[in-house]
Amino acid sequence: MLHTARAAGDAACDMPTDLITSSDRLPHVAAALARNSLDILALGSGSTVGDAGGTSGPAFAFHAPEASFPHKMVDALQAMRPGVRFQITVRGGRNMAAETMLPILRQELADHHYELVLWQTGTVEAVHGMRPDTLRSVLQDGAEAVEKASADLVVVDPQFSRFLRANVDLSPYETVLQQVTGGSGSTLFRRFDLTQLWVANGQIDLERVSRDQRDRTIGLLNTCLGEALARFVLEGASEP
Amino acid sequence: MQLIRHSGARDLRVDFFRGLALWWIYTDHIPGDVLGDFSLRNFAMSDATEVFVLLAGYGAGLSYGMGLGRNGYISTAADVMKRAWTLYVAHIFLFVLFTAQVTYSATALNRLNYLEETRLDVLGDDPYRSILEALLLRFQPSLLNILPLYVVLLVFFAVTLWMLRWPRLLFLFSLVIYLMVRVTKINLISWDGDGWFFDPLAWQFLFVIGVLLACAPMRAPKWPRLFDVAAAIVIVLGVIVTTVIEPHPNRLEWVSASAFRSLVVEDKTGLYPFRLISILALTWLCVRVIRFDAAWLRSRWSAPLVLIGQNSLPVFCSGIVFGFVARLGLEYDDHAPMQVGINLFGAVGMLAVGALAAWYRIKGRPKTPRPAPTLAPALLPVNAQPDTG
Repeated sequence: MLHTARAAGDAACDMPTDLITSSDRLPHVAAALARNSLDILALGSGSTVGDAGGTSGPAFAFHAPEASFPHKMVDALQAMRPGVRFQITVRGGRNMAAETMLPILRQELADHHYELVLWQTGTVEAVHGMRPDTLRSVLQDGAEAVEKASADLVVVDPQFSRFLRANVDLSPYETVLQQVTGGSGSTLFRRFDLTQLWVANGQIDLERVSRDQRDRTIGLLNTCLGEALARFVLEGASEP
Repeated sequence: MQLIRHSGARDLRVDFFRGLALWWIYTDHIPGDVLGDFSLRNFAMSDATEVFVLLAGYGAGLSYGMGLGRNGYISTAADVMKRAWTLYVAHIFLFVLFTAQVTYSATALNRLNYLEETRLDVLGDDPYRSILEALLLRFQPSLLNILPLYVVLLVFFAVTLWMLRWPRLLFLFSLVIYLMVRVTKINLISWDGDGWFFDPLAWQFLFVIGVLLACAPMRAPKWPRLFDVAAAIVIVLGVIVTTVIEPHPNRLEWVSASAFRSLVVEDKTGLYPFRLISILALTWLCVRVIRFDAAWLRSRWSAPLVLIGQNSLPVFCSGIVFGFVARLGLEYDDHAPMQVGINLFGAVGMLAVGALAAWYRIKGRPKTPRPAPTLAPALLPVNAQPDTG
């Protein structure tokens, strides 16, 4: 069953139920929503921190932290649950691997109490050909730390692109993400499948968009991803 | 004019498969090219890189193995280093060409993702240092990581060449380094602090296996059928993993065997053991099924692949450049006519470069063919022609 979410003006992104339905429960998020206050930590590489492209000139870099998908997720959450106070902290950086993010995660969890951790990873590891088993142990350590800190973990996998599909063997990394998530309090948001669907439907295709439409399309992508994640999180926090 | 090198002892299977690997490298690296869905990587646990490296080792073994006995270590090692230098210069030239092509396209078309994807963004972040790091092979943009591997493998070969007098020693030495990599993950360091995309310390093992197949002919095993069955099992397993399990990792949930899990979580950087076993199984079956003197290898149908396989360096370099042009074409329009167009463009372009390189090699030479060397009793027949492909 498809139901379509309207996003950013006239465009629409398909959100098939199975892709925005969490397979695992998010109990800490549910408890926080009941208290009307949810603190979120988003950890990831370029797409999470809203940093794409080089820093080789002002006309060249796309640097829009406030427009990244975690912020858009909060906007969508706020619209869906107006009575709840949502707070988000974004950490990470372009080209940052999970191994580098792990100490940041530990530090954040030690300094502050979050109920939800979004961890976007896998792309940098795959592009650099890092060992999938290293990613697995890093994510397992991270998942344990999140669990100990009484928070839920949503892992976000790579974003679809024809370039990635052609040049990078993603499947070992996808398998790892699949393996380390699952069970109460830890789940996988399948961004790859969702963004691939949008490309296939001709809804959002960054690799085929014309020059003048590019920034608008990045914005639309972030809005759609944010909305999908918001639905995913709320669904995971609802009663089964 | 005979552009293809034939001789009684030249193993055209090697040229053919090297040509095929070059073609796969072209189609595999163009985002959205439909032919990329039909190359080796879609059906096996290994891909064109393994074919390329194994045959590079085989080619090096053919070219320099005999020289060791004839001219001694110093002279032969010097020849290997000269070849490594040629590859290094080709790599640097390709780096400049590819960088110019990608950065210009990225700015002209406002596609920042080109820079990120090819990892050329650091060129903008730190232009003064990146050129030096490129010369040191510590800065390797995407697609430009195979030649640096090849250069290091040849330097490794130059250093270890003397061990060819004791092939078992070379094999053991190489195996120990490979196992060490598998255990410790040791790798050459690149500029960004990560390891090389293709860890030379791991991939040298496949290269050395290629060298030994050429220089230290093995006796045929006592029970070749046993090997046939084992190789077939490995290949079938690879097909299952790549076509059934990898596209749907959640299927692992109902496959209880943890062996499958370990097959799926593989790394290319450190030449995951199953990748290695997969390419060796494919090699074994190719040698068993395709006879050295198979008529089709000399037919006009296989001639294009044999020709580009015999001129692999210029064809490889041009293939990278053509591939990026093809990508721009597909991004402009990816319907059937453009798909046909970019693949034809690549095929004709690579063939033209191969033919030109072959023509340069033969022009001005006397027309009488040189006598064929006698066949060595090898598993894979050897010849003594220098490998300049």
